Parts: sequence; structure tokens; C-alpha cells
Amino acid sequence: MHPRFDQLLSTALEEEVAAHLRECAECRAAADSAQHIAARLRELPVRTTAPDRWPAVRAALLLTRTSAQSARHMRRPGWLLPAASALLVAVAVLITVSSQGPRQPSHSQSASIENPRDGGMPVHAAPAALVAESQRLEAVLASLPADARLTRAGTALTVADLENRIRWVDYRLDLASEAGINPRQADLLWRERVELLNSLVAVRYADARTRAF
Amino acid sequence: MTRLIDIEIGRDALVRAQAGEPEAQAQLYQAFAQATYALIRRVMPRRAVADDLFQDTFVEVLQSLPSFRGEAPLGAWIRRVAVSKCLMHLRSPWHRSLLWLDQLAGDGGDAPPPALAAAATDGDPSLQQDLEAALAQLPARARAVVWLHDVEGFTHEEIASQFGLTVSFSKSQLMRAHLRLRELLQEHAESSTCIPVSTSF
Repeated sequence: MHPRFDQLLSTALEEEVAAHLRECAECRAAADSAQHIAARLRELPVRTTAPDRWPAVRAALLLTRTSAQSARHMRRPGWLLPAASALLVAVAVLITVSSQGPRQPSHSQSASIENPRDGGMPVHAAPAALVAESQRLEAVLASLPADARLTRAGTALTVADLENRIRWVDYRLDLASEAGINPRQADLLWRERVELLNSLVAVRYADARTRAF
Repeated sequence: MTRLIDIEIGRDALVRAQAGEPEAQAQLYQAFAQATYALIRRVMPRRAVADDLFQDTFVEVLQSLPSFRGEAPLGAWIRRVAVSKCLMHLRSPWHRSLLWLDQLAGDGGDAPPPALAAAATDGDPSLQQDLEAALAQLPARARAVVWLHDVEGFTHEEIASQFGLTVSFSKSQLMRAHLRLRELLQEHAESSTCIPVSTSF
């Protein structure tokens, strides 16, 4: 094909159209009218105010980030599963042996922090500041109006997704506390819980405010 | 009203937003939110749908921001994401089912809320009202084509590409939209001519 075929064709057509418009009053009126409408459309004022969707946008971004982190955690090397199984068996054996021996004070008071999720079960090595923040956010959530109405399906899905992720963190915390948890793991899990709770508070608060007005 | 492609944020804020810094992301959102929403509302007059698409647009913009290379203005890039979201919605079964429900209910489907068509404040209010009302009566795809071509300056090739259809589709939609707008404006003009009211019965 000629490299300038399209351009030559469009130029020729443009000239042909212009020539026709010079002679045909009806088509000229139609073309003028189209231009006039386009000009008036461009002049239309904007009368809409953007809704405040920043909390929901931010929550969705955080959700994606935690999903990506979870996916990275899921992609473990092949040797990890047998190693984890061996570790669990070792822990079970240790627990059995220790339960048959003389009873020791199970945990020192200074190393235990009350878990807000299950009414008093100790969580070892849990970072106190993150647990306190988690408790504070739970209290904020409880203080929001419990209204069953939903402003939009997207909000309902986001809330459900966040709640599911919090439950998943809780489940991992329970498993970890049963098998023994190191401070770094505890910190990561509690940090994730606080981040998810923060997002949930932001979405629920934005939703409640939308309903209020 | 500033157009999306004319809005800019500082290079530093952009780099920080690309790195995922929440404050810079919020700054970007604040700068582009109003113009983005205005564009989406023009293509999607139904407020609930427009709100959702607006949110989805910014989620995608901020998620994909690290891949933005700065070859075009940031506003043009955001505009492309917003338009793409709107047109995807127009193609979706969800939109078609809404139209079907609207027809069953007998309402105007995509007609804008009364506030959009009633509160003209500048320019010639009556002409603007007429044009707003006429625009709202166009079918959704025709309205999108006429707005993207006449106001946003998209070419037929760009519109066809965004819709995943041919250039002929874009041209014919635009022509039909102009014809329909002209008819509707004429009808409005005729119906709003001064009619003498007699007080004696």
C-alpha cells in the first residue's frame, strides 16, 4: 500500500466535501449546525461535585496490597511443607512430654497480653502497642451505627472482604499461638490486623456518613 | 472548569505517589477528582453508576501509577482510564439489564437527576437547559460518542478503539447523535415559545 494512501484519501475527501458544502445549502446548514452543537456542548458548565471516595479508594489499595502479600506468603518453596509438618510433630511431642512432667507456671505475666478477639486468651510476644491499637479500632467499629441498609454493592463487598481477611489473620494468630510464635511473626500479623481494621473503619465511616446525608 | 488534560501535579508528588506514599496519592486524588467525576457524569448520567466508576477509576489509576512513564500528560492518562471504565460499563450485561429494567419501569433510563438539568446558572440558562435535556435523551452510546468527540477531542479512530468497534460505528453514531440533538432542540424551542394565556373562561 502507498504509505500516504490514508492521508491522500482523506485530503481528497475533505476537498470533495468542502466543494459540496459550498454548493449545497442543506448540507452546509447541517454542518454548521453540528459545529454549533459541538461548540455549545463545550460551553456547558459543570454542576456536579465529586463524592468523597478517597477512604474507599485507599481501602481498596490497602486490600490489594495485603492480598499481594498473602499471595507471596502462599508461594512457599516445596521443602517448606515437610519441614513445617516435622516442626508440628516435634511441638506436639514436646507438649505431650511437658504435660506429663511436673507442672510449671505456663507463662510469665509480663510476656502475656490479653487477646481482644477471644476474651482473654494470652497471645505470646504480641506487640502491646499494636494490640492496643487493634482494641481501639474495634471499639470505634462498635460505636458506628449498625444499620443494615447498604449504599452500594461495592461497599458491601469491600466490607465483607475486609472482615474475611481479619478473620483469616485471627485464624493465623490462633494457629501461631498454639505452635509458638516469634516476636517478628507476631508483629507482622498484628500489623496486618491493624491495617485491615483501619481500612474497615474508613469504609464503614464513609458509608455511615453517606447515609447520614 | 479545568479540563483533565490541563491539570498537573508536581514531579515530586508524582514520583512519591508512584512509590505508593499515601499523602502523595491523596494529593493526586484531590487534584484530579473533580474533573474526572465531571467527565464520568457526562458519559454516565446515572449518579450511582458514575460514583462507582469514579471510585474504580482512581483505584486503577493508583494501582497502575508505577507503570505510568510520563509520555503523555497524567490527566490524559487518567482520562483514558476513566473513559475505558465507562465504555466497559456500557458494554456490560449489567448496564443492559439496567436499561431493560428502566424500560419495564417506564422511566427515562439514563436520564440525569433533575438537579443536573435544572440548575443552570451561567451562559444562557434556557439554552443550556435545553441542551442538557436533549443530551440526556440520547442513547448511552451515542451520548458517549458525541461527548468524547465534540468536547474531549477524541478522534473517530480513538473512539472506535475504546469501544472495540469500527471507525464507521463512531462516525455513524456521531451523525445520528447530532441529528437527534437538533430534532430535540427544535422540539424544545417550539414547545417553549410564548403562548398567550387567557384568564377568561
